[in-house]
Amino acid sequence: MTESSQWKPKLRDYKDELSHRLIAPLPCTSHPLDGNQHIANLSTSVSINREDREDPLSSRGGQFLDTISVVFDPLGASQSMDNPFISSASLSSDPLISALTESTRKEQKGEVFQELPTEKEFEPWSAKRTYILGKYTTSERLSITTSFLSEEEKEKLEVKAKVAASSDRTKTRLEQLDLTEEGSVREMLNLSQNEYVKKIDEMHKGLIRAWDQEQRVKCLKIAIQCSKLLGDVSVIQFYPSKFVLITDILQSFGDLVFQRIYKKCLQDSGIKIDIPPDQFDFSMVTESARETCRNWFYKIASIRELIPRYYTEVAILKCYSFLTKSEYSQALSRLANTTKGIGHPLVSLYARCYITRLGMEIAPDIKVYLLPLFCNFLQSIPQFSTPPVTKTLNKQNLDQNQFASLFVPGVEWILQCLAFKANENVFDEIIEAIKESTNNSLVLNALMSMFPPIFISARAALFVDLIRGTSELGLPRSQLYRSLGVSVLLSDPPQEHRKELLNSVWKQMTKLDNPRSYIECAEIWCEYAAKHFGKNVINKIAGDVIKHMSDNRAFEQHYTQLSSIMTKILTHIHDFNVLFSLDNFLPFLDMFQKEQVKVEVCRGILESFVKHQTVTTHDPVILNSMIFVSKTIHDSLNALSPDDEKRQIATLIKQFVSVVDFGKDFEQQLGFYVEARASFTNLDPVLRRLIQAVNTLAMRTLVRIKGKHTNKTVGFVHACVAYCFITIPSLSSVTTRLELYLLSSQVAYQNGCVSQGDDLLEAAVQILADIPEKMEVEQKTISSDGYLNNYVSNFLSTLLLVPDNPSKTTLYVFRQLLNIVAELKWSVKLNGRMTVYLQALNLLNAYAQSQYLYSIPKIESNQTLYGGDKRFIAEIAKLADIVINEVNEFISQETDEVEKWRASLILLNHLIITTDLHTSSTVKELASNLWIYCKARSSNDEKLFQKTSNFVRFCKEKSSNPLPDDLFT
Amino acid sequence: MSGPSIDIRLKRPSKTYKVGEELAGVVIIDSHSDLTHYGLTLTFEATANLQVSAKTVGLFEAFYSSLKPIQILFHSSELAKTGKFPSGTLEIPFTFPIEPLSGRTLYETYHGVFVNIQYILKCDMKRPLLSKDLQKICECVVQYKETDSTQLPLKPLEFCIDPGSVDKKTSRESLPEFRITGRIDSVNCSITKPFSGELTVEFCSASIKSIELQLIRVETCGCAEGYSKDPTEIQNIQIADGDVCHNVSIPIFMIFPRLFTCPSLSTTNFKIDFEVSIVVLLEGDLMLTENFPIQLTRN
Repeated sequence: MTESSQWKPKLRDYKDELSHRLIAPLPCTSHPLDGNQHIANLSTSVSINREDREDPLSSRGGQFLDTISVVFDPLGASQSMDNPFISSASLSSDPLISALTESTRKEQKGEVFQELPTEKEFEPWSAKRTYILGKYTTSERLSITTSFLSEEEKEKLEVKAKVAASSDRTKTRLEQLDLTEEGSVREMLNLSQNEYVKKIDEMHKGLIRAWDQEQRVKCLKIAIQCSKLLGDVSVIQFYPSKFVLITDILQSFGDLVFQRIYKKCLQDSGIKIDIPPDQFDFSMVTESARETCRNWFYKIASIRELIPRYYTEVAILKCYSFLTKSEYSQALSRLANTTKGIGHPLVSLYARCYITRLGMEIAPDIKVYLLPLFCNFLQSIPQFSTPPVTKTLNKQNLDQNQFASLFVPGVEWILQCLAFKANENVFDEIIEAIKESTNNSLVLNALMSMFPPIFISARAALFVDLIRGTSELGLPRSQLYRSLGVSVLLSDPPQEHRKELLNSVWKQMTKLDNPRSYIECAEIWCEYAAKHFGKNVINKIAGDVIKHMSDNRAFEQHYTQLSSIMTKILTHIHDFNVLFSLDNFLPFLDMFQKEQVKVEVCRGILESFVKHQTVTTHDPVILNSMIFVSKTIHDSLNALSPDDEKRQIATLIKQFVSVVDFGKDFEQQLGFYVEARASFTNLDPVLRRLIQAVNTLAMRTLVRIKGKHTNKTVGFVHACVAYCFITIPSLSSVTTRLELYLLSSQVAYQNGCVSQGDDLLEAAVQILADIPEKMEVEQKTISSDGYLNNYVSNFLSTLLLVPDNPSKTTLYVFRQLLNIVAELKWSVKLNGRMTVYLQALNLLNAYAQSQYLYSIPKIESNQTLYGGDKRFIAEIAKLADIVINEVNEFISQETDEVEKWRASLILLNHLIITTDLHTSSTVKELASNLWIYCKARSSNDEKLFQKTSNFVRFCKEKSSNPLPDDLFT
Repeated sequence: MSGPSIDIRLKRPSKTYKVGEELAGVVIIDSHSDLTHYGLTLTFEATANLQVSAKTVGLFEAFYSSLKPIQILFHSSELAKTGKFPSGTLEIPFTFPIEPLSGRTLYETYHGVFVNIQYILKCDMKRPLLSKDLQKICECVVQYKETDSTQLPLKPLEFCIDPGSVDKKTSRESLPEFRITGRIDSVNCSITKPFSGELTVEFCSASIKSIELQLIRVETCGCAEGYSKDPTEIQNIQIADGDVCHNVSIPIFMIFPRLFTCPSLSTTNFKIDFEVSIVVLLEGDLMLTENFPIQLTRN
């Protein structure tokens, strides 16, 4: 290299080059990013559009996904809230649960019985059973009376007998005798629930074992003894579970008997193949099978005690199909009637429950017996307070309400059976029956939860009267109002009754003293109000809730319900103008004083806002409220918050920011962005969005004033750029900062803010070195070379627009950039650094042209600044020499032959494009050498070399500025 | 290895026949080896066994005056003469008409305490010395033909149990206030149909423990030396358990057990009658009983 620069820029005719383009450009009709729109919900497309247009950066690092998570499920929150069923079941590691899972397993195997696959709306017994076993448990001691002990139990007793004192010898001897003889009854006292369940399970096993050993009488005896236990109400709170466990045994008993007679039929008629019972024909029943069946019924009919007789007969009810032509209805009616003889209301209820269960299973279409059965139950309600019942309750320290709760599953079940495919007439009959008998809250509640809401909704006013008429005993009234509320929510009551209904219910509700009862009702009825009524009603109701909840800070106990109310209001009111103009809305929000709850609620509001606010807004009330809400959420984040949550919240806030539009009032808009920046300092994506928005704002200003800034607008644009300049450093990601610096500088130059643009670029150059060697893109770690290449190329392109700062050296920023690039660590030298250098060479060539490729109107670029000044060209040439030298150096250091060849070829191409090979002799020599080198080794990549040689030929023949003929031969 | 066996199998699995029908079945001989025998006979015999209860006439008399069984049907048939049955299973069919001995009438099968009416099929096989004779007894059930029995009109009965109606024996000084009313669908009952009716506790100041239905047979055996009449319980069916609702009708329902009941019978030597008692057990072990004679028929 000599002292004076050798490189001479090739003069280029951009227009001519354009005309020789090998591939003709096509106009582009669609935005490449528009495809994302289809992923997201259409309702959110407005905000997403903005997202795509304004925030190209968000396409990096897989943050696209954010937009999708916008689609929130309003039910999602409440779903997980509390399912009493699941929670109670999972809470206790109860033996009941294991008993229950075990038998469910059996059911699955089809061992016990199969549920009749009735309609979807019918909740099968198995579900109920699980619920009952989970709910009704006891810590009291239980006792069991049975003659069927397990073997080990017997042994234990025998051992005991042996060690007994000799004076007791006769007694023990007798005991032993008793033991050997089946049927001796023994009472086991003081069992825990676990042991009790175990005992019942043993009886179950005993029954099956006895059956397998063909000891049918023993089997029947076990069944009888089991059902006898159902007459025992000594530990009453366990009764429903006991019922479940024992009826399981009876089910298997009934099933065994049925199977036996059924098989007998097949055997006797000589059918070898198993015919499934549903294809079974009455004509196939043989005389002997019928006789066996009759014997069973005679045997059971002679059982002395009512309860065992009833239960065992119901258990083998299915066998009536062997006697008469599947005419169950008579038997069902008769048996249902029998239950009237059971004095204890709870025992009789579950007895009724059992027959309906069997009835639903074998003959779901027969319903005649159900209504009388239900009426009988209603008649038995006064029995709650008969002396024997109250006596047992007192003994066990149970109050009437607890007692009533034991009835719930049974009553619900019976009503569900009644509701199954029921028409309105049945429903009216039931209501009449309820009206005539004692108006019991328990029944009323079950009625509301079991019948189709549409029935209830149509008679809502009647129900309000009924509820008002219930006695204080049983379920609390609040629960009834709640159930009614659920019904009217699921099915809208007639238009003309809506208001009246709300008024009458709310009037009753305000009388509820207990805040818990009150809020439980309010939770449901608020939704009703929100669904059907406007601003005033909701405001009034919210006010009432606040009033009730403020006493003694009751709200602290009921955050769940309050937030649920909020969610419900948000589900139904989408107009935030209305919502925030409610006087009581913010006071309502103030009730959430527990940080976590408050954040959740705010998030709900924000989500709803983002989802439903589809048009832009600048309403100060909305904005203030939303900033408050968003800030609450934002402030809840800390270093420990999960990334995903941060991202979701950021997306929400970004979307909120996007809907804010002050129209022509740009200053207010900027003011809002300033406020937003102050509020959401911790969320990078939000800040990024704000910077983008401010840039957009500046550009909109430019468009509005049609490219001619006035004094006022210049000031405003300065403010915008300043905003960006001071906001960018607070972002943590280097790449984001780099890109935003570049983008903002472009905006700044566009708007004539040259010095600010320079500052931005310099800032970018200064942090360029901070780029980590590796970066993560879509969860993969890759080298940052590619990114750097892109970025620097982009940067260099921008530099063409930038006029030199007179107070600094020529091409100050450019030099700075090259210095930094030289220091950067590249993982692959040739592809990385060389490309950047060659781009720099391209830029230098572009600088040297008399007419620049592009420029910003009204901004004087170096073209006009220097006007092709010789010293300027010389400076450029000096720089170009350095660049070419550097690249040459790289190539010569490369060890891989193929790479070296390819790099040489690339350099050659660039030299042809950028350099005037006529005048710059050193470069000409270099190019010539490169050509010879490449040509000689063209076997490395024939195609690539062919392209180059084609290009060379083109430049020689067609170019307006042809290559020297003596080169590249 | 089990020895040879004989068995009687009736054509009808229920073993139930009507008067005038033909009893048909097979005698099954099962042997692993050839079976030598001195004759196989089958008898079909029906008797009414009467016994005078010790309670009414005294132990001594009861013992001596137990009445001779009355034979009402007898058939005999020799199924095989002396000979040898080959090994294996052999079925020998037989039929008997179900008709009374001359001058006698047939009664339905009945198992009671003092009166028993049984129809017995007995199969005897005489065998050579050193081998035990084989015998098999099988009871069959005989019933009247529906058309034969006299049809009695339904006779509903209303009843009311209150302090005034209570049996002198059970009544005490301090009876609680109560009134239980009810209805029996008919005191003339068909034995094949359930005994039915309903009962309502209108009011009762004491709580009820249980209400039961007691089926009682009244067997009368009479002859020249004297007669005895004894009511005994056949079965007890609880129809109400615990303190039932007042003013709610509780169903009365009972199925007549087989064998232990038969249509009401009245002959020169003995009588079989039935009664139903409604027994109300009150708190404090107070028992109220109301008794209803019933007439059973088969139709």
